[in-house]
Amino acid sequence: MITAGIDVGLENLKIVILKDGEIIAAGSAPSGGGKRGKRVAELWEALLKEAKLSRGDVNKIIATGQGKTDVGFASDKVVEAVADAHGARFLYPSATSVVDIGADQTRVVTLGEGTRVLEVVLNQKCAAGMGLFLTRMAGRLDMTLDELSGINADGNTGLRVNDTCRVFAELDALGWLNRNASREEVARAVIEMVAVRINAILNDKIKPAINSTVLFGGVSRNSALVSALRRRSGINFLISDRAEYGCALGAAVLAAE
Amino acid sequence: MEKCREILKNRHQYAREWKKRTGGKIIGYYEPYMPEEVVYAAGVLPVRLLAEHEPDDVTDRQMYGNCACSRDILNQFIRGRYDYIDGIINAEGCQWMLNAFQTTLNNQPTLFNHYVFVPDYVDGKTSKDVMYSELKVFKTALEKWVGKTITDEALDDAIEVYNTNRRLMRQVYELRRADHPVILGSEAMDMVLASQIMDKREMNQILKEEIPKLADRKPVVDKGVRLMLIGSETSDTELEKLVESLGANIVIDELCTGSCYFWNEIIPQFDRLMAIALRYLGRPHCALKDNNWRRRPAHIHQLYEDYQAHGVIIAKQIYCHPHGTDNWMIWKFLRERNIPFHYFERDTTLPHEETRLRMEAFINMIKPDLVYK
Amino acid sequence: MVKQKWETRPLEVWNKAKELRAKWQKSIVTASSEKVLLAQGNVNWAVGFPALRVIEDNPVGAMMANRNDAFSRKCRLAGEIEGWGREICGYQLNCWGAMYLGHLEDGSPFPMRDMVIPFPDPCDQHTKRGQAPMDYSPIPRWQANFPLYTGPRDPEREKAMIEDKVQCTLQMIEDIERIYGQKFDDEKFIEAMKLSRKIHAYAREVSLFMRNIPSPLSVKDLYSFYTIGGLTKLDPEETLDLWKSLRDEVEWRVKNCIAAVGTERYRWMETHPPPWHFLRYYRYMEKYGAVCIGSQYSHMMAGAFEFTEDGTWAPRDMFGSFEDKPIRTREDAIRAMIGEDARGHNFKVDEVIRPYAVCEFARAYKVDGAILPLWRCGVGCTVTRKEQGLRLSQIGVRVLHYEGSQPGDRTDLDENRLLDMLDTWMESQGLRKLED
Repeated sequence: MITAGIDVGLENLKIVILKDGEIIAAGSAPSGGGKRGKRVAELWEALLKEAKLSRGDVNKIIATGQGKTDVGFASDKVVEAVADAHGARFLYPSATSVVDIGADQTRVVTLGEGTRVLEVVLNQKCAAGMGLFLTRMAGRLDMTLDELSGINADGNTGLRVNDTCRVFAELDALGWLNRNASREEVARAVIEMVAVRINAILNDKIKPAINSTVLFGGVSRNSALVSALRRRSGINFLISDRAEYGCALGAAVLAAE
Repeated sequence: MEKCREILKNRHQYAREWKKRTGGKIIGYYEPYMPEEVVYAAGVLPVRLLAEHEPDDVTDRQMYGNCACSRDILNQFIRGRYDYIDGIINAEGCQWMLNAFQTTLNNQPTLFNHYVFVPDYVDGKTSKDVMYSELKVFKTALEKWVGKTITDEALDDAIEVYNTNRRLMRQVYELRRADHPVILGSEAMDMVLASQIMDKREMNQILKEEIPKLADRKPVVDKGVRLMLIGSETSDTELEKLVESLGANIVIDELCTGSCYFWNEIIPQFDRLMAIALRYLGRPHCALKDNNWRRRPAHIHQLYEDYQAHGVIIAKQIYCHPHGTDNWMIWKFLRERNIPFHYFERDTTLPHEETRLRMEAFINMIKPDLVYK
Repeated sequence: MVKQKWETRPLEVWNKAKELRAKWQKSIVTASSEKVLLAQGNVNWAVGFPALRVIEDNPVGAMMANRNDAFSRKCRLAGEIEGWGREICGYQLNCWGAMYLGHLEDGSPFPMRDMVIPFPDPCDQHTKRGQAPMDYSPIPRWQANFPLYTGPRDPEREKAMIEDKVQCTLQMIEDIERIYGQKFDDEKFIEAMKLSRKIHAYAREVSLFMRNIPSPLSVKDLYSFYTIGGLTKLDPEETLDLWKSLRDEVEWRVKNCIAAVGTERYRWMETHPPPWHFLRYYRYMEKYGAVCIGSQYSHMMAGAFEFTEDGTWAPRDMFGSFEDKPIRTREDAIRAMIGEDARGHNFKVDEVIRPYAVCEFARAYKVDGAILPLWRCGVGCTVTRKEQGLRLSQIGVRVLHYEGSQPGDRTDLDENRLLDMLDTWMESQGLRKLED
């Protein structure tokens, strides 16, 4: 059986194609804002070609993500939390929670038996857009995302930026640069701020377990943030090399059920 | 001055050392209407709970929408910074502080605790009877906790210690009236804040030693713009220092954690509890209590004139509802009297760049007026 | 077409409620032309004065939010320009913004208040309510206290508090008589107090009927009634008649299994007011077969809650111990009105002091889930809300939090995000929409 999951996020699209429980193709592309529907179709065609498949070969497609309604050709749609649950259990059968940090949203999903969802905690507005914020701050600091990811997040710094509001945080960061603080020090302060905001969500409702929590989302590739988050939360996140496709994968798994 | 700053910075260490030294208990309190004298007479040290701006990823679970002050106090309790506190008291004030009080108790139910109902209608005919009744209940609860009677002598002693502290702080503030004060706003504020977390007897000793030395200090001449600070409570002097770095000086304030804390004394009378009740009901109104007879505008205006301020900074904590509701009236009377003012909202941390821009613009706006005066 | 489990029918008595609300609104607008004094406040004893009507910025602010968002925004901006914090209570910003603009949404002059009688409440905003008209024009203001303390009830401690409330009330009445030359009609007040008791009794029954599965009313139905006799004061006889009619009809609905939502399969509760401009989210939830049975706030028409003798959590008889006491004088009536519990209407006290009382409500009304809004600009609306959510989760009730400014202020409410969150919440509980 061949199924596909399409995760249409604010910044990026992710598509995963599964055949009999194996990932045979996965790809991502920028969502393209208002051209989302077109971008989905283009990526879909590209992946089908890569997997040497035609549309008719795919038995079922489930769309998820903020822009799921843009996927007119999907058989069904599912909310991200349910897709996350399926993706996490597929990759780590003994997972008990999944944390998905994306461009605009952070979700903590607590899993029950099978792929049942026991609880979902979403970020409140002040913690919105952590992924986008990191991208923007990398630009402000004249760093690539990879460079930002590579800083030592656990070093000591006296610098702090506002940890309630990312607009204030950005102003503070620029202020420090104006006062000749190094880019690395400011980057460390920014990473710490994001880790504080995300850890606040982890501490809400049911705290994820230390050794069975999966991390999904593009932000999982930011080693500096993951390190800071580990330090603050005490959680040893399980991070697959497919982490940013976790939600799309979950949708594909659900389609196969 | 330095000593006050150090104690304020290391307030938890001070409290722990006090406990070790005296073997006494410490009570934390949230609101300035808490009748400290009764606590002090019981041999317990009352310590004002102040925010400390530590990054907070633990209170979101239990709190939402709170002002930064109340949220940060809970943050500190959860992180164990206040592990030396033996009890907490809330005297009727704002709901956010009540929330912080209640949530702390939910987390640490073994703490001694008491709620003192201080009437919001402070001026009512029967309000003093309510306050008096509450003080009696409070005194009984304290006596039960400490295991001894709070005698009239102990109350007299506590009243005298606190009144002395108030007089000494008034003396410090009087020095700020001068055209070129010998004390900066941040220094004065450090002293007031330190007095709220120290044993008043020790603080009085420091003040008695320091105040005469102030006469020998060189006056501050390079901060020509004199400002008044009003708004929500503060727990540090970041704003004052920022203003000083821009060539201005905060010469007076009308803050709960500032001048309002010590402005009026207890007038001793035979019924000590009634004397204490009257003092707390009659102190400069907190925004929350300034309901019926609006005293704040007159009090602010008088201080503004007395201290020859050139402008007013209104620094309100975001989500502070009492001050947010008072704002419109404060703006109205400041505008009617053509008093320059700048209003802004504070948060957990003072966003440095943004605040610096504001203060610089405001100070520069006032400067030409001074030149042409 | 979705298969209905139960029959549904519109409420017959709804039109009557609509009529009464319109009558009340008209009475406020015409107060000045009728030479009737208008008091900012909400006190039960106002009925004793021949020419005094009371009005609060809530429900005015709520109604404005519900009916005309564009005008609400104008009012809020007018308030902000005057200095109101952006994050202050939306009800106040709506109402007093209209005062600064000088007119209502239909262009008619803003009904200026002649005096301020505050509505004592633990909410900071309530305590300072009425300062706006008082600071705007020179009108008299009175104040009262809302006593609060933690721990079990202490009747000895409450003596001074109750005495204070009684004396403040008596003083207010005397002052109004003296200043405005109106004679307070003690008989009328006493009669109104007695009728109040009957109104409460009917409201209690309506509240208890909503525990039935299926619920005969949803909270959206309840909103048409719950302020009548409380925040919106009308002729006591007419109010009594309405509540009796509602009680009779709801009782009939329960006996005949008439449901508010014909596909009811999920019951949820909330706390505090909803976003008044976005009540369609109740209808959205009904697509999932989910009915909202209300909150302690919306059931407040029935009074304070308590554990009854048989251990159930129910609204209590507010006048209980005064049943056997004669009410002959003004002071007797005031004491009966204030009651013997100084801490007032308990749902507020419960929130501040006992966040777990919400669990008792949840159990009593047999809820599966709870939507707890986080109104960042409403201190009374939001205090302890997160803790309540934790406690509800602990007893197996699924909780959803969403953010907004305040029920009367749509500024920060992301409606699309809220609908997405509702989908996430429902689907993560294994429920998909029954209809699109």
